[in-house]
Amino acid sequence: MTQANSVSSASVLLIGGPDAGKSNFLFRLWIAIDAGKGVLVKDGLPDEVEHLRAGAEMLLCGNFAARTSKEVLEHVCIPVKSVVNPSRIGTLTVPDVPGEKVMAVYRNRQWSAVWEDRIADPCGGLMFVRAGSDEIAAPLDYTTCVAVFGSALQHPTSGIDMGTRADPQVIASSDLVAAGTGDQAAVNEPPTQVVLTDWLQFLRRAFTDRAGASYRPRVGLVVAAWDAVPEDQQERSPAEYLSENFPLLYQFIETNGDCFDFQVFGLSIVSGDLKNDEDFKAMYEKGTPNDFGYVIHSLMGTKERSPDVTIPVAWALRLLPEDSA
Amino acid sequence: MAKGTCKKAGCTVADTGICLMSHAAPDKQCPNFQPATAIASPESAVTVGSAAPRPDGSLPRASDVIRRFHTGLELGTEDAITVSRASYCHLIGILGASDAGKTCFLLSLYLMASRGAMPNGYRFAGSLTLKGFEDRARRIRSWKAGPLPSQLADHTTLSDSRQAALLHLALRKRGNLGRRIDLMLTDLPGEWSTTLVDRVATANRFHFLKRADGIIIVVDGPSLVSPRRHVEVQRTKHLLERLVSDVGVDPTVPLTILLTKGDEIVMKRPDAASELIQHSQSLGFKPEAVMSAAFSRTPDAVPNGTGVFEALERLFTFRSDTVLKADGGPAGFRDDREFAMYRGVKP
Repeated sequence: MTQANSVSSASVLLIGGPDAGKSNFLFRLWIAIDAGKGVLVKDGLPDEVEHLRAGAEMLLCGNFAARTSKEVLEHVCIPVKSVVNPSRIGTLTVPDVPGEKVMAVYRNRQWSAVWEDRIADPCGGLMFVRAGSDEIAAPLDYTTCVAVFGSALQHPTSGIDMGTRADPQVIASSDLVAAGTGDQAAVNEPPTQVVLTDWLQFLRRAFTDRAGASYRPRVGLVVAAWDAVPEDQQERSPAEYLSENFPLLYQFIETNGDCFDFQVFGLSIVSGDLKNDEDFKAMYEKGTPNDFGYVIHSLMGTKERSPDVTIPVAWALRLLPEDSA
Repeated sequence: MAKGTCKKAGCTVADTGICLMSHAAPDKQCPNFQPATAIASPESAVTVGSAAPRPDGSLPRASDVIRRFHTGLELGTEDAITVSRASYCHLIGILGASDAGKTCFLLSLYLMASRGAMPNGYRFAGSLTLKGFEDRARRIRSWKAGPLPSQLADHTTLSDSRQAALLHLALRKRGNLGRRIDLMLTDLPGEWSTTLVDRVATANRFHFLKRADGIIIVVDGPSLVSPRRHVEVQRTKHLLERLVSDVGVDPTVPLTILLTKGDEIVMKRPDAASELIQHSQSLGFKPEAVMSAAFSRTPDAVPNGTGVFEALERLFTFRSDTVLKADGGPAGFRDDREFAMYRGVKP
């Protein structure tokens, strides 16, 4: 990336399926940028602030923002400057795209100019998975594969050579819905880790074409709602969480460091559950919203916890102090 | 027809080849047709519409571009060539009768990769056919009733039914993450193997295997201890003969005889397997028989995936010192591409 003093038009793509926590992060990011206490601060008010204001007000009042409408597609533009180098100013563009549209790109294997316009130098990405989300589609394993799909579908011809061995008892004991009956769409939902891995392959392709094969974009994997990760797992790193829960995606990250600059973050935008934890909500409402929330990262090689939720975006755009060195 | 996209809303010519305006040759006749530029990459075989320069010589604006990515289902031969320009691809032919367990083998391999459970430190590094693996696992992508594909596909589109084509898997080994191993695994109907034995005229559709880096012959293990074992052995021998004599497979490439459903025969190698090994050797191969249990009925005793990766690994790590020394060839090769050139195949 060009190390110029201005960041004239920098984009950060927020990628993730439905209920991944993208919009709530964006609103919390705006609260942090507006408060001016992080590494990324505002350089005046955005021209269009309605979407940000409405979302931030929800958080300021102690509520998570509702899921983004499937049809909403907001281009949030925030004038920002780097605290460590205030001469580095520009407009941060963050498309707020509903998860359904992210899934549509995966299914249709194409994207429109909305995405294409953002692929440039400088541009970074943050890919979201939300811990504990009901929308996460688990990967297949041997038992599920045989139990659900092994013999539930009839052979269209004798040419298929896999389905003759499923054990009927295994199928009968499965609590999963057999393909061909009931909620087949849910059974056939592609695993979240497959969707996100293919998305990374899409991004690499697009960056190669538009910014060159040598351009190594920064993509942060963000485990949102880190506070919802089981306590015993919180002692470990977000990378270990990804490794255990999204192994295909994690392997891709491990093996493609020559194509991307990856980091894994744990993120909690308010440090707790405003929806289901009344005690926490009461405490939150008594405090100052910008004092809640944190990021877990290993940018300096060891696991750290920071109250600055602008760090993932600043990192993706190479606006951290170490990027100026 | 040349590949491309259409500016007209609702036209699916890119996927179906059918022009909304009913032009018989839309690439030549339709004013809305936009030719695509194929871009070689190991990450994806991609076409970008409107990639041609504008009349004034300037590059197209991003807002004019709709980017299309690989279908993710399977790769046709031309797709595979595009991918292999950027990185050497190991082409592995997987052959065997219907119900022998070819698809199970592919799915078991995929599930291992998907769960981070590949042995010997191998890690998943990418796949242009993730959706194809998933759809096969869910039985969405089965061979359709009616005539099976008669040739290996050149390209595949989202609207295609399951095609005789290639599945792609890239690996890197922990501790040696600098070396990427791209595998192209054939996904062919079992009937192809059967008809190859019956009719030499069908050998043409296997000619792509002349460039194969390894062959896996999939044989139903339990059938080799059943009353049908002589039939199975004879059929497999004939298949091997056809591959060498009529297809032109190079017998110096590694050959694995995969004995499937090993859990059903307590992983005891059938005696009949020795006949297959001996016959392969007589044809010039240096074969190895591997017992496997892609999906085990008794996972506590025989783990799922037993033998699957082992059968494959020896094919892509193959460096026959014996061959090299006998030929007076170099002691080693810098990379797979150089090895392929030595073997006389075009990478």
